[in-house]
Amino acid sequence: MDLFKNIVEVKGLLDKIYLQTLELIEEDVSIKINIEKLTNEGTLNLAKTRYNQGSNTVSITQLPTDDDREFFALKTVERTSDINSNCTQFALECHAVDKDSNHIDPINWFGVLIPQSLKIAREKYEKAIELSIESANVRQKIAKNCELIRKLKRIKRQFEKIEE
Amino acid sequence: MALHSAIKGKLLSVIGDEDTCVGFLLGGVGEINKNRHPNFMVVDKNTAVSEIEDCFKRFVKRDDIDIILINQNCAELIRHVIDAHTSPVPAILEIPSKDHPYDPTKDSILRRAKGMFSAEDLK
Repeated sequence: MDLFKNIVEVKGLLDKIYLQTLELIEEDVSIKINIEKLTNEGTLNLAKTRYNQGSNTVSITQLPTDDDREFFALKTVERTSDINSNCTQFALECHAVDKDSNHIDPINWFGVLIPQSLKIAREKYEKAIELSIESANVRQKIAKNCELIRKLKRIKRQFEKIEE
Repeated sequence: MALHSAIKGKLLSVIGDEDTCVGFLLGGVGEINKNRHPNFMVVDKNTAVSEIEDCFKRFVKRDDIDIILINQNCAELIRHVIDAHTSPVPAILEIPSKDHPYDPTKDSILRRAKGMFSAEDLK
């Protein structure tokens, strides 16, 4: 409360954060729409592959199970936190395919001769992963803003009580 | 932007239908660790809600997972568990699936944010 001289300052800051939160919500929804577009295109290309190669060529039966030997993800996230806002942020890390370090290429689960449609599907999902990281970052900011709004509302109420 | 305290190599996990899991694993997020625990779960029409809930809770507890991608229709089935998760990590991301387009009004974080905008507060 000591940070603010009067209620006008609190209201001004609240307005700014409300506006910023609305912009972040808009950004998140538009990222989600883009993810939807990409996954739909990806799904369509998975369907094309099934049509050309057979219905069971791209399915959960090709995915590794608990009985398979361990392997590591080609895409991981690096977590950082912003000093100023103390907000957690994520960045995508890509690892090269390397059998010695158990970084295997997942496209090989679906056969040796890789159809073009499966390669296109992979590209679409890779972009969707990038956008997912972007969305996660935006949502961290939204959650942080909600926390800040709650605190500012409390301070605003204290000022209102003093004024009464 | 000032950044610090980098922690490397955390995972994205996936809970969703066949195409979502196949697609995102094809994109390279899949992993089976030393304890033979996968970071994905395929949900079909025969999967019980309790199984999805248990898997979600297991992923939340794992310290090597930073982001959980879950189809919004699966998230709807375990909404109470997702709503109760308020920690920033792991981040929960509700994604659309081929049969269920994204609906922002169902999203936990966006509903929480919407709750901040009451007419009383905007006076």
